[in-house]
Amino acid sequence: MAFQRSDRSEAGVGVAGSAPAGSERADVARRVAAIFHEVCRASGLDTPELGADTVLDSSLGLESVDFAEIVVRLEAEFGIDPFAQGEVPSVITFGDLVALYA
Amino acid sequence: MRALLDGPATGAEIEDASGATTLPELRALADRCEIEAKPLAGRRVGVRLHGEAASFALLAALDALACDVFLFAGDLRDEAAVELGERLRLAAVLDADRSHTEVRSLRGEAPGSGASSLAILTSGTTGAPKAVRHTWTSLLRPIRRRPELAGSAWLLCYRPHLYAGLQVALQCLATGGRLVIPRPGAEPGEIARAARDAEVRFASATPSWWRRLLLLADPALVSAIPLEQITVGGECADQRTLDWLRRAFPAARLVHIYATTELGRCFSVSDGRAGFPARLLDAPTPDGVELRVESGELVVRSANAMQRYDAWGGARGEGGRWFRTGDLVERHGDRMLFVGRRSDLINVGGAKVNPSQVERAIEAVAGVRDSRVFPRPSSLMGQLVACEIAVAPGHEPAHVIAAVHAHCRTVLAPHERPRLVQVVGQVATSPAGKKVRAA
Repeated sequence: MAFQRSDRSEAGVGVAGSAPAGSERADVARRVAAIFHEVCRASGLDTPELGADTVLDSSLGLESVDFAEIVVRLEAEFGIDPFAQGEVPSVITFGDLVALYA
Repeated sequence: MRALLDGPATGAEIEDASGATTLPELRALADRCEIEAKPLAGRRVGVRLHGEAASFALLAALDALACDVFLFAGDLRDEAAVELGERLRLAAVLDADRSHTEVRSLRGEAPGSGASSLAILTSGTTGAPKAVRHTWTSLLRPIRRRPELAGSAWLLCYRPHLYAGLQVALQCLATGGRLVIPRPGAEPGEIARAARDAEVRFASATPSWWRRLLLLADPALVSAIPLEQITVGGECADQRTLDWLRRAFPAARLVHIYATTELGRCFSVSDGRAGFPARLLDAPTPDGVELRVESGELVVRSANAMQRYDAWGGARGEGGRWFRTGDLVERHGDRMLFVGRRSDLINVGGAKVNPSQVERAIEAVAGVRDSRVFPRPSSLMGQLVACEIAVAPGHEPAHVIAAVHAHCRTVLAPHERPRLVQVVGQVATSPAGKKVRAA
């Protein structure tokens, strides 16, 4: 069985449609996408192109528990869990998800 | 169950992926199933229960045939169904669709009880499933007959072979309601649209299910579902989720329910606050349920309880007795709040994961010296499975982690797989030398 790469350095690859490099939001989008892709790889899925308008639904192959894992990992990365307090935000697209951490 | 179809519940129907099945059509399906299953009358049989009208018709037929029925998940694979059926010493495993009943005969059956019964399989603390035997009387006892609700739509959000799903289906059919069953694997958005189109008025699900719906479905679609009652159960209903539901559905009655497979439905709370009123400890409920607290653990005696564990079902015990629930509670003023589980099981969105079983899977991987599986709190699923791994000398940690993920994908379900894997020098143990189960 082939080993999977868990190397963060390739993480920015595949982030489409983000703002120009160097802007803070683009950086957040890259870090969110990196974690998204790590979870995809651990779950044996292809790593999707993630643009601001990418809809986060079952077409990506992710289960709800994968999404829960992404949120836990994002908390480790950014130090916040936007789903843990008060009004819980609605997330339809990848852009919605990035906006919670930007 | 058969009496439900023959009773006065006009208007009852089941809307599954293949369309709507009316009560007369359900009766006709049940009659056909009864003829096909006749040789199994009075015997022990397993049923692969799908979220489909034909599966419920088969249950009604087997009730009429006085079978001891054991409910299997609809997606249980053939070999696993045969293995489980033989371990439970069943005569056959059945699977019904709209055109016929498939009967797979097994060897080594034990004698039937002679009376109609229904066993629900539940994972115990050891991970071995226990067969919890109910009578149709104990299953139907908590059902409220409310003729004024005839024709209302109920959404089935639980798997039908488990206690909660069966209760929703029975409650709906007894009330003459329309049971709306989403396609297996349907997205929250698709479920919300189906619920809106079917004008669903009653929906019952775990807190994790509700959070997922509110999180991932279009809010405009969700708020267009004409819900009158929202029921939350299966996992601890926390205040945050209750508040969120209250805001999302301001007009709906919000109920959280306490039930277990063994005890049946125990009590429900409709004041929108987490936990339950401490006064429930003082006297039996009108339903015949008594609660007390022993060493911080909720202990219950319930008139809705199982008859007993099945003799071949991996556990011993009778209904009608005081039963330790494993749920830890604390008193806060006039309120009892749930604070955790006595057992080690990890609850991922309402599905129980046995840490020992996950450790066995991890430790089958070359290079893993030791492992410790424990829950990691998750705002979305309640808990996720996390683990520490001690790597054997000479192995590259990153490769071992990758191999653990790859192996676990092949032997564990997605909710069982360790999600957060950390390499440590030595896994944490208690003074008694046991693995620490807390995070």
